[in-house]
Amino acid sequence: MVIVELSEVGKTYHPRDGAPVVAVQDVNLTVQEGEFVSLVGPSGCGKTTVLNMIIGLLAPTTGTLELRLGEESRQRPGVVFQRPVLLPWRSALENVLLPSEVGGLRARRSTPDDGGEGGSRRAAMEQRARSLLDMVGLQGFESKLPTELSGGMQQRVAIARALLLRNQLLCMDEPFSALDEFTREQMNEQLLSIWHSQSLTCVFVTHNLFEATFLSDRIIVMATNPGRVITELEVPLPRPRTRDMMTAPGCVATVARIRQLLGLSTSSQEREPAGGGA
Amino acid sequence: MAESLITEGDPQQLAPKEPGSRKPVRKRREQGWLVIALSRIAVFAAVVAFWQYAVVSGLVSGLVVPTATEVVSRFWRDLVSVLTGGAMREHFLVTAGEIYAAFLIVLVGGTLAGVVIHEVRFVNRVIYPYIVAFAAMPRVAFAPLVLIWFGFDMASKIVIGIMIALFPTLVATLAGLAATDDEKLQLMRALGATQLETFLKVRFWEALPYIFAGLQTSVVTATIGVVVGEFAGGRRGLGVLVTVYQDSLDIAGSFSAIFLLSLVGLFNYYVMQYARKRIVYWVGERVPA
Repeated sequence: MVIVELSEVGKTYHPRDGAPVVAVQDVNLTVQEGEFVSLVGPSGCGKTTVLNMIIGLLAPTTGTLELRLGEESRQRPGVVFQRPVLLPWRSALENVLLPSEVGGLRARRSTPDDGGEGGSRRAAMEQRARSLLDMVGLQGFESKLPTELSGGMQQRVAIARALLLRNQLLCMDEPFSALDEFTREQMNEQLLSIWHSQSLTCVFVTHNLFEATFLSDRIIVMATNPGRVITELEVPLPRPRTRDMMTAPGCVATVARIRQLLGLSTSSQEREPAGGGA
Repeated sequence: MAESLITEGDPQQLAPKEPGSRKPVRKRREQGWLVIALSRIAVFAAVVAFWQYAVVSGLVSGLVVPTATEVVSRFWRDLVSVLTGGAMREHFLVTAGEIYAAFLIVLVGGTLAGVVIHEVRFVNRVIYPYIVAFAAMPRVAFAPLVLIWFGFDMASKIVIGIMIALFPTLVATLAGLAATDDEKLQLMRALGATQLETFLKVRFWEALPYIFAGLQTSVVTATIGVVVGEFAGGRRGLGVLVTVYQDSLDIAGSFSAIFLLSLVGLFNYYVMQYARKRIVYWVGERVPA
């Protein structure tokens, strides 16, 4: 079942001073339920713009965008940004609980898993928040303030927060780019196991091609000037993925193919000795 | 007391009493603190000794400057009088009451006004130039007029206290509400939060450290406003006493009243510092704005 569908979607900004800027144009993209899809491309290719339109932070200027997230039409995608964006006055647990406290009264009354009225809903939410923190490996850190947690731990809190309301769709915008290489690999593995165990659908933005390949079923390759999708690739790696696959021929070949598509490969460098880097 | 005046505006000076988070830093800090404490006492003793010498030796006239021991014993007597319910207590309580009335009104009114002015954009755009204009006025100059309008009792002093103390809190509240991190607002939008929820869960909290910085200034300026009001005229209060003693050339009495006022200021400063640490616990030692 298709749960995200973009057809001919474009976004143009109209700055007060100057000509309109086309951030992205003619994007056709579908995401199947349970799929892991990554958007890759150089800065300025509009990958974050596309993600922000899916999240609902931006409205497309042209084309149509549709989300089909279960019966509760009010359900939103869970979101993880590049930075954890935790509220520093709230403990880890309270940060995870934030989504259950907002969205207006109507939304709060009709949560999928509420056992009853008032206090018991809060209790159920708290229980879920605790189990999510366990799942991301933060048991025992529930009452810590964000400043007492490392960058990787903060981002794990952000992931738990994104999943509190049993969100089916998880949208992530370069969530691990601020982490060191080792932590990032660990987080990649953990994310895959969460994706699998929670039957999530993921849309993942990154500029790290190995990360995209390791995580994804499908990679959407984007380019600049104007921002657009140039192609889609299926990743020829079996599931479940293991860390060894980072160096498997299928992985390396996929990365090489994307580099070529983006004009980063050796063949294009030979033609332009000055370097074809984007 | 002389010490309190020096450190009043400098929170860093008062910080070393807090245990540091890392051990080596803490150890170094504590050693430093002992040296600093001893040095402070030495400075105080030196000032008092020089003062005493200057008056006794006739360097300055004993008629206009009392000796240090005279001032200290007078201050002690007045302090005991305040504590045991003597004649000084009434003056002390009147002034303290005026300061706290003005400060509480500023606390509630300044914060609420800041919220309303910020949230209602139209009001913000219309009112802001007037706030700036009024803040730029030498507002103490209104004191004689306020006395005409509000009488010689506590009300006029409270009004002047409010006039002086309102702006630090109001301006800090406006600054704090405007300073909300865009990423947090984006998060709240992605979560589908309403305006009210965003305000209650994020904006207000983000503004709190600023509001506290404003309140800490306001509690000091409220004292100044109240004393200016008492100078302008009145029957009871420490500021009134200063002027009464001045007329009768009771300089030691004036000093003593001023020191009682600084005692109130010092107490307020520490209460605010404590409250800030408890309520804005996530900010640490850093004071914004």
